[in-house]
Amino acid sequence: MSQIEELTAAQEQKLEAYRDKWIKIGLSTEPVNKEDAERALKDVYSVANLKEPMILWARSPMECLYMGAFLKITIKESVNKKVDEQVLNRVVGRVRKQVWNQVWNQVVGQVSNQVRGQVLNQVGDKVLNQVVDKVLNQVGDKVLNQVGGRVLNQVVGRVRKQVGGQVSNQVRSQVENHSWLRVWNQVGDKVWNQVRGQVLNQVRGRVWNQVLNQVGDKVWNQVWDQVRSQVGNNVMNQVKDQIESPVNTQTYKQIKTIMQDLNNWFCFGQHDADYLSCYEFFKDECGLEVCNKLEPMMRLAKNCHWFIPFEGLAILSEKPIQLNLDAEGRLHAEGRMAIEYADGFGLYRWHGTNIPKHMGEIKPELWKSEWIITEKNAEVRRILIQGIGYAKIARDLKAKSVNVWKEYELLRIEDVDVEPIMLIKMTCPSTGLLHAHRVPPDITTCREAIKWCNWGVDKEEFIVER
Amino acid sequence: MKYRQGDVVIKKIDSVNGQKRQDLILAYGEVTGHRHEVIGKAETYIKDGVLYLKAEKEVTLYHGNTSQIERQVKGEVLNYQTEDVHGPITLPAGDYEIRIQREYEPEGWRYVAD
Repeated sequence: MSQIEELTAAQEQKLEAYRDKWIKIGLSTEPVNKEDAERALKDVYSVANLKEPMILWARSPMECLYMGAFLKITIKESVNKKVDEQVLNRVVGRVRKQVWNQVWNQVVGQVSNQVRGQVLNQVGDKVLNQVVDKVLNQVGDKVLNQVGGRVLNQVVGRVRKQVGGQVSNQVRSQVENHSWLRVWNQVGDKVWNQVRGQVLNQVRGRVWNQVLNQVGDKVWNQVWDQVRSQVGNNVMNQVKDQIESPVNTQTYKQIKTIMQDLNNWFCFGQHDADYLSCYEFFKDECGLEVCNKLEPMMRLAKNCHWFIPFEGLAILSEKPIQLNLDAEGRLHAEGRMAIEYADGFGLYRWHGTNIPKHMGEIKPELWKSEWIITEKNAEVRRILIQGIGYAKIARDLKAKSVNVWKEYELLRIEDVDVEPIMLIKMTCPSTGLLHAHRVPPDITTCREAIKWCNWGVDKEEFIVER
Repeated sequence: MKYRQGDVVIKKIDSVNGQKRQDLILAYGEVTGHRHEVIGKAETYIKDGVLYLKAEKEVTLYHGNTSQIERQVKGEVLNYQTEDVHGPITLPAGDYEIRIQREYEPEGWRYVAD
């Protein structure tokens, strides 16, 4: 097949349709069709020459991580835990190393080398940009051979970048950048307890034995059977207790480490819309047969959010139940989460900026002026000023204007803290938005206040301020 | 010579020393995901908790997320108000001390965090 050097007028006309279609897929909150998703995922594995995985469903990426950690730690703990010294010595001596190193690491190793490599594509972000994908590279190279640079630029520029701009840059990166560690510190117990029931039900109720027997390969089966028959329910119960009462710091730390690790293996499902949009265009409009290999990924994207592929097992997340964007395409909602999943996990965002729950869950009309005193983050304070209004804050806090200079104002607020609060109001030269920083109580002029904030640099000394 | 981009205060100094760092990010906003990043031939150093910048040639300090910085590098002028970013600053070759603005708290002071 000769290279496609130019798109026909008819093909070119269709670019926007692909763009719009994939933006819709990427931002969809329609409930997933699990049957379709599972079939698609099995086909993805098949394209990658991997055996059909068993599939577990989570309600959010967060739950994916917890489920993965749960499985991993349960299996590890059941072998490590000192329940019956005698049994354990036997088991540990012979099996532990085998189980841990050979089985899990093998699974892990294969996941990173095979599944991850083969299932993922260049998702273009810091987490996964190193992924070298056999299937996709093949496809990618062939596409490059078959499509001229101009056409590629056209399709990438008019479809992929547009889709990426709305899906990957805004939504995916927001979910991705969200620190699960922070979430863990804030709600670790709560989430773990919530998730536990769900995981136990799915894993233990429906497929517990299958998980233990099917995950991994022959070694896994052998070793696990051996472990289970020798250690028996005793250990399983103890493990369960341990998992269910996460007061055990060591377990906690392990879970944290495991989750951090698993976090790097996410595939993005519907959030892979950007590159899939191009491949679908090449497949359907330019007849590039090699792109057929990605057809299962395209089907999967329609019915799946993020997922973690293991060998023999995959944990899939349902889509968010709501997704709210502002006119610029940034996550934004007033009085509710900007992105929310069925398990209650989600993000509060104000025009893309992370705001705390107490602000996010109520409308800005109900925000309290006092929060400007207690909020430690300058950007969140800026949002409070924007949401409540500077005049209302000054009024509510009975702030007295001490000094005004240029666009600055120094305010004094009594009886709120251990000493008077002095706030310097500033206007950002780039955005025009108002900010307020607290300065020492003995400061009496705006100019002094600004100089103090800027480590002794007087306002007039700056050559450029942006 | 002194410059300011949002909460980042930049002072020209005579020379730089300290431990070399791996990136050219001067500050990172936790809630915004926006960073202040130098693009150009430069190095950053840290000494006693203070950050220093050594620019071999003229460099530019950008603010924003990855795609906002990329767009600015390509020459696009953003709508700073709607995109909530500070405009770029060009810094001549030379050594600089980088400070983050501070704010008062009864226990002392803290760096401004965004």
